Amino acid sequence: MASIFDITLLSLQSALVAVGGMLVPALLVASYLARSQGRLAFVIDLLVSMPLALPPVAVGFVLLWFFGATGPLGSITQGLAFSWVAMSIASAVVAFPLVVRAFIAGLAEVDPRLVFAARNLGASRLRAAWDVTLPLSLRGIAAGLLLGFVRSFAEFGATIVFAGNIPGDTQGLPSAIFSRISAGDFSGAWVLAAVSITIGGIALAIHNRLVSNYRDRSNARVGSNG
Amino acid sequence: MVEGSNKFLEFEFKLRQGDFELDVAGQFSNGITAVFGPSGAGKSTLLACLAGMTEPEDGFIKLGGQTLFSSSERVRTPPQSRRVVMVFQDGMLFPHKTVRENIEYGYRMMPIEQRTVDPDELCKFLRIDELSDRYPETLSGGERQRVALARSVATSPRLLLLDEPVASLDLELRNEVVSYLKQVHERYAIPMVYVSHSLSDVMALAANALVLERGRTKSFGPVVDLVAEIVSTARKVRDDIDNLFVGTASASGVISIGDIEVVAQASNLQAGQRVTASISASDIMLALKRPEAISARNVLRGVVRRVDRGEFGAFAFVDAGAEFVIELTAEAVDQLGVEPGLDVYVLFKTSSITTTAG
Repeated sequence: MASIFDITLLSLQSALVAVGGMLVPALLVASYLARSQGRLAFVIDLLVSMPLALPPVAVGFVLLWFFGATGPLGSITQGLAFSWVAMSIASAVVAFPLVVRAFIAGLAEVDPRLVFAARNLGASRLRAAWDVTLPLSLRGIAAGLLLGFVRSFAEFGATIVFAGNIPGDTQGLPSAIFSRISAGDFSGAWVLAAVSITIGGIALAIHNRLVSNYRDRSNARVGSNG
Repeated sequence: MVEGSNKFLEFEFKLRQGDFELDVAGQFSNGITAVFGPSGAGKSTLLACLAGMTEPEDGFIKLGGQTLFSSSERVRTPPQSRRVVMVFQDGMLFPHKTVRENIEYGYRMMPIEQRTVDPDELCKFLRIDELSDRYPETLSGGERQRVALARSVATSPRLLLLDEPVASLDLELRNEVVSYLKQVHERYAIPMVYVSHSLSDVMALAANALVLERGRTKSFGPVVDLVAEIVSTARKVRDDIDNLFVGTASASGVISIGDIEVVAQASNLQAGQRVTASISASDIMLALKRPEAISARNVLRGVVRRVDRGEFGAFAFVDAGAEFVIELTAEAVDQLGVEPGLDVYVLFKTSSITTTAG
C-alpha cells in the first residue's frame, strides 16, 4: 500500500499540474468573455460552465468517452485514461469554470481606459495586455489559481471514473479516503481526511485573504472618489 | 501659435451606438481646436474615433494628408500606429509604474527616428523631473496631469487629444495646467484638440471651436464668435457649466475658492469637504458701485476682462478672484458702459449656487 506521504504527493502533483495546465486557456477564455457579449460568448460561457451543473461522475464519464478509443481524439489519446495525467485532466475540467470566473473578476478590476491608454501610446493589443492588464490583475489571477488548486485537490467523482483508483498510480487523497472507508479502516480515513483538511484549508485561507484585500482595495478606491 | 494649414485634420463620419448617433464633420487647423458641448453630446466618442479606439461606421479621417480611416477605401490604421495621443481627464497613469516608467512607456515604443521630444528636457520643462521615482498614487492632482501630459507628449504625437484634462482640478491648478498646455503647444508645435466644459479654458487656449449637440456639429468657427452660442448650448440642456468652481466648504455654507469666499446654502455641506459650486451666468448681476442694503450675500469686487456680444445676448468676463461669466442684455452693457478694465461688483444670491460634493 502506498504511504500517506505518496498519496498526498500524488494529489498535490495532480492538482498543481491541473492548475498549471489551466492557466493559459483560462486566461484566454476569461479575457474573451470579459469583453464579449455576443452569441458566441454565450455558448462558450455555457460550455465552459457545464461542469458546474453536472455531477462530477458524469464529467468523468464524458471524459472517458472523449479521450477513449472511440472519442474524437481516440487514436492519439486512447492510452490516457487511468493514468496520473487523467487525474489532472479530470480535476482541471471540473475546476476550470471556477478559475475562469475568478479570472473574469480579476480582469474586471482593470480599468479598460488604462488599456486604452497603453494602446493609444503605441502598444499593440498583446503588448497592452502584457504591460497593463496582466500586472494589474495579478491578484485576481493568483486568487483564481488558488481556487482552481483547492477544487482540483478535492476532486473525486470525475477523477475516479476517468483515472480510476489505482493505489500508487491514480489514487489521490479523496479516492484513498473512499477506499479506506469502504474497507472499514476509519482511523486510516481520518488521517487522510486531516491531511486534506489541512492543505485545502491553508490554500483556501490564502485565497480568501487575497480576495478580501481585493474588496477592501476597491472599496477604498470608490471611497476616495466620493 | 503654430501657423499653417487649415486642413491639418479633416474628418467626416457617422457612428451609431444604441440610441445615440454621432454624425460629425470638421476641418481643424494645426493650432488648438476646442470641442465644446454638454455631456452626452458625443465629445469623448469623437476623440475615441480620432484615436482609433472606436471605429466609425461610415466616413473618413485624414491627418496631415494621410488617411487614418476610410470606409470606402477600407483603411483602418490601428490606434498604436496613428500617433494621435490622448490626455485623459484623470490622467490614467499606470498605477504599477513609476513616473519615469509612465513617461517613457510610449517613448520607448516609438521608432528612434520618430522621437523628436527629449523626455528629460520635457520633464524639466513641466517641473516634474523631481518626481521620477514616485508612483502615481503619491502625486497631487496637478502633478498627475503634468505627468500625463508629459507621457503623451514624449511620444512625439502628430496630434494631441485632450479629454477635459483639467476638469478634476481646482481653479488654481487648472490655470497652471492650462498654461503648461499652451506652452507645450508652442514649444513642441503639437496640434491639439481640446475637449472642455469650461469656457474660460477654451478661451485661454483655443483659436477655433466645434460646438457639438446631440452628436451633431452645431457650429464651427473662431471661439470669439461662438461664445454666446457655447453658453446658450450649455444653458439649453440646463447644464450650468458657465461658472464652475472647485473649492473647500467650511462651516455655515462658506466655500473657499482660491482667494475668494462665496456663501452658499449651508445645508448638505460639511466643513473641509471638497465641493464643486456652479452658478449660472444668468444668475449673476453686475454693479458699478458697491451696493449697500442688499439681500444678496455674495458681493465680490472685480475687473471686467472682456465683453462678448452675440446673437443671444452679451457676456462679460470678470476677474473677481475667480473668473466669472456673466450674462447681460446688450442694453445693460451699453447703459453701464461695460468694457475691459472697468471695476465692477459681482452679485449673486446664496440660492443661485448649486453645490455638489467632490
